[in-house]
Amino acid sequence: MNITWSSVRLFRVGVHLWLVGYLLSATSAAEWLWEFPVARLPGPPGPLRYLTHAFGTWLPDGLAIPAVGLLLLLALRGLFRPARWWSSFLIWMLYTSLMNLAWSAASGGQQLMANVLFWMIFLPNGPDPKAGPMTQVVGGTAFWIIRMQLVLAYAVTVAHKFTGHYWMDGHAVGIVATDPGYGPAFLGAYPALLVLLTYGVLIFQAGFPVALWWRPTRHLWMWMGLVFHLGTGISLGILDMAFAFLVCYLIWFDEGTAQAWWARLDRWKAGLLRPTGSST
Amino acid sequence: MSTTAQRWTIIALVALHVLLVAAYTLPQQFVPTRLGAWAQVLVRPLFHQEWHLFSPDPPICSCELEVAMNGRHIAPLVPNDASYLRKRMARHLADHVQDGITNGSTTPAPILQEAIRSMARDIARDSDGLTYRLVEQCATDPVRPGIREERITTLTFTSP
Repeated sequence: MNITWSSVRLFRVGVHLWLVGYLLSATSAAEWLWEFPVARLPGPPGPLRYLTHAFGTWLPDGLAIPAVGLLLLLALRGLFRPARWWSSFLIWMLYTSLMNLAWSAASGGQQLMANVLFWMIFLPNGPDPKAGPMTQVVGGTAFWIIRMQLVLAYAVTVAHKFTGHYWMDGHAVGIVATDPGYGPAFLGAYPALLVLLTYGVLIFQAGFPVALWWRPTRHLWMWMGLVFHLGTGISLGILDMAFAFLVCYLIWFDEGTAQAWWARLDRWKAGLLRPTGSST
Repeated sequence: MSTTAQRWTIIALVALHVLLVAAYTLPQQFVPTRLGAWAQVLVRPLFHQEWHLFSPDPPICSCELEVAMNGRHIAPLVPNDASYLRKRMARHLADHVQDGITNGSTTPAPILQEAIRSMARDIARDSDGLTYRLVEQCATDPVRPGIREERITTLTFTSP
C-alpha cells in the first residue's frame, strides 16, 4: 500500500504538461469552446454543480478566457514547483468547468484528466513524517484511486466491447478504419490484418488491468499502450486522449523505474544548461 | 490509528469508490438496478465518465453534418482545415443527430439545433436561409466495410 513517491512526482509533472499542451492546442478553437460556446448543457442537480459547472452558475461566461490564462499559469507553476492543495483545487475546478462549458468537444481523455485532477487535490507531494494518520489515509486513498482509475477505464471499455458483435467477430477495427471520418483507410486493403488488430485491441485492453500488477507484464503492456494510444490518437484525431492515458501510466511506475526516469530527466536538463562550446 | 487500520481504511475507501464508478460506467446489464441507481446519484456530480468509444459496436455508418447556403452551395459544417477540437465538436453533434434519425426523428433536439446553428455562425453571416443535412456513408457488409452507400437526410429545425 506504500506510495511510490518518485512516480507521484513524475505523474504530477506529466499531468501539468498535459494541461499546458491541451490548453495551447485549444487556443485556435477558443472562440468556439469558451468565448462564445456553441450551446450550454445544464449541470447535474445539486450544489456540486457550482464547482463542476462554474460558468453558467456563478462565474460569468466572460471570465472563461481569463480562466484559461489562469489555468495555464497554474499548470506551468505545477511543472516546476510542488503543488499546494488550493492550487490543485483551482486547477481541477477551472479545468472541469471549462471542459463542461465545451461539452461537445470533450473526450474520454478529458474526463480521465478531470477525475485524476480531483484526486490530486488530496495527493501529497512527498513523505511527511509529521503527517497525522488521517492525512496519511487521505493521501493513500487518493494515490490508489488515481491508479485504479486507469484500471477501471480499460476494464470498462473492454466490458462494453464484449457485449457487441463486431468486436467479437473481428470486424470492428475494419469498420472504424474505413469510416471516412476516422481511418487510416489504407488498412481496408488488408482484411486479415484488420481481424488481427481487432482481437489485438481486445487482448490489450482486457489484459491491461491484470498486467499492471507485475513488473515484466506492466512494462510490456505499457509499451503496447504507447503504440495503441499514439496510433489511435493520430488516426482518430484524439491525441489529447492518447496523452491523457499515457500520463496516467506514470503513477503506475515502480520506484526504481521512476527514479531512472528522473535521472534521465536530470541528465537532459544538465545537457540543456551546459554552456555552448563545452563538449564534455 | 495503527498502520494496519490505516491500510484497511484505504482499501475500503478505494474499493467503495471503484465499485460505484464501475457500477456507473459498466454496461447496464452487468449492474444490479439498485446499485446502478446509487452510482448515478453519487458518481454523476463529481466523477462523470464514459468508456464506450466504438463500443459495444463501432457505428456502421459514418456521419457528417453539412450546411446548404440558399439551397445551393453545400459545405461541411466545419471546414476541413479547422482545429481538431472544432472537428470533434461537429462530429459529436453529427453522432447525436444520427442517433435521432435512427430513432425516426429528422428534427434534432433543441440544444442540438442551437449548437449546430452556432457552429454555422460564420457561414450565416454571409448567407440567409441555411439548411442542414446529415450525410452518412454506410457499410453494407461488415466483412467488406470499405464498400459504403451514401445516405443523405435533410434536417428539420423547429426552434427559432
